[in-house]
Amino acid sequence: MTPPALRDLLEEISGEVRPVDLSDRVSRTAKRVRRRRALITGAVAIALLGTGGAVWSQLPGTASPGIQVGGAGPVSTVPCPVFDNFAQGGVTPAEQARATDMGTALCAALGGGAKFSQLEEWVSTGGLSGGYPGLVYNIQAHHPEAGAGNPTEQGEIWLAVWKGRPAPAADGVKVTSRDGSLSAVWPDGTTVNMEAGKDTPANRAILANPVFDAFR
Amino acid sequence: MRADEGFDDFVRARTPALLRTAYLLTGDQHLAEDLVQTALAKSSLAWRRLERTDSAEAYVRRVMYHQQVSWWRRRTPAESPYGHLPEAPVSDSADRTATRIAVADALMRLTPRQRAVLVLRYFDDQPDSVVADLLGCSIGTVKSQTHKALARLRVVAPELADFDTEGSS
Repeated sequence: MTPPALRDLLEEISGEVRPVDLSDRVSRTAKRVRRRRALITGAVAIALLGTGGAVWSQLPGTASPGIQVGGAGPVSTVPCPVFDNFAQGGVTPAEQARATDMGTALCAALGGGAKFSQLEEWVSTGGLSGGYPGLVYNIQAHHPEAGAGNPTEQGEIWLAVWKGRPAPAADGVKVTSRDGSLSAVWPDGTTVNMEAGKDTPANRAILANPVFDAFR
Repeated sequence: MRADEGFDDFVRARTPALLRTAYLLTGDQHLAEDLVQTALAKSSLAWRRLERTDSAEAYVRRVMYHQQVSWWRRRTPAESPYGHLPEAPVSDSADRTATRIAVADALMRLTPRQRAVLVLRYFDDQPDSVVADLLGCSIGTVKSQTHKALARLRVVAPELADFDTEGSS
């Protein structure tokens, strides 16, 4: 018997899918995304009027690298289009608010929605397959072009934030590069991991932003 | 033509092919539909640029592959991708249908990246360089992931021992 080619088998397997027309579903989802984006843009414009030029509202007690205030240098007035995914049961409103704060901060640090096509926020209550147990905040920014000038070599920046073992003796946040990822550990054990993150001052500044110390 | 019309035409024309790829990536009709729907909706935000640069299909597929990995991360916290594969479910006289079922099952036991590598190489006929670019990894990673994925498939379908010599670079 002639061995079947993998290509032929994949062709057969893929042929099992039922053809459906997704036009209406895609259209509805796309409109919802655009509407949300427009609402955010409007809110930012109102905030600009109210603050006399501050482009991004800074979270209390946070330092936001890359944010320009008062017109000094290039700024982005385009917010990141956000896909929230808090559908998983057991995620509290406070946890959702935390994730949203982190997403807002990451978007600002990355230069806003002009550069990044999508920002996703979700909270996993059951850990992740990578072995992190318990509650994990996930903030993910997608950018169309990977490579030079971007924080990672991949087409996305994925920050996973979970509670590790406390290190009370530590003096502030400690950022290290290990196994190809950039990680920050706060004294309370909060760990922030940027998968495939380049070890650059800008990336270190992002991870050291207190907004990511989500379990304090 | 309005930009929306161009996007609508693209959705209608490319959904069948995207669904087939998504089905290979997810192994489930509804997940495949969700994956294509999400990828297309996200791509609509960048549609004007994609249309200008004639890169819509590649962009949508890139979003699909990355989205699939993201979903896997959040939806299967306890999943072990190298779980218990059946040792020899296909006998020497097994027919093609049995092989197909065994391979389909084995595909779902791979990691999403390994699955994506196989689909890109053997279904989409993409060279390693393009696979690496789409998945945001090195060519060496593509080769090693391919090797591991094929080894896993051979456990359940030993008669496919020669398939890695076909086609793709």
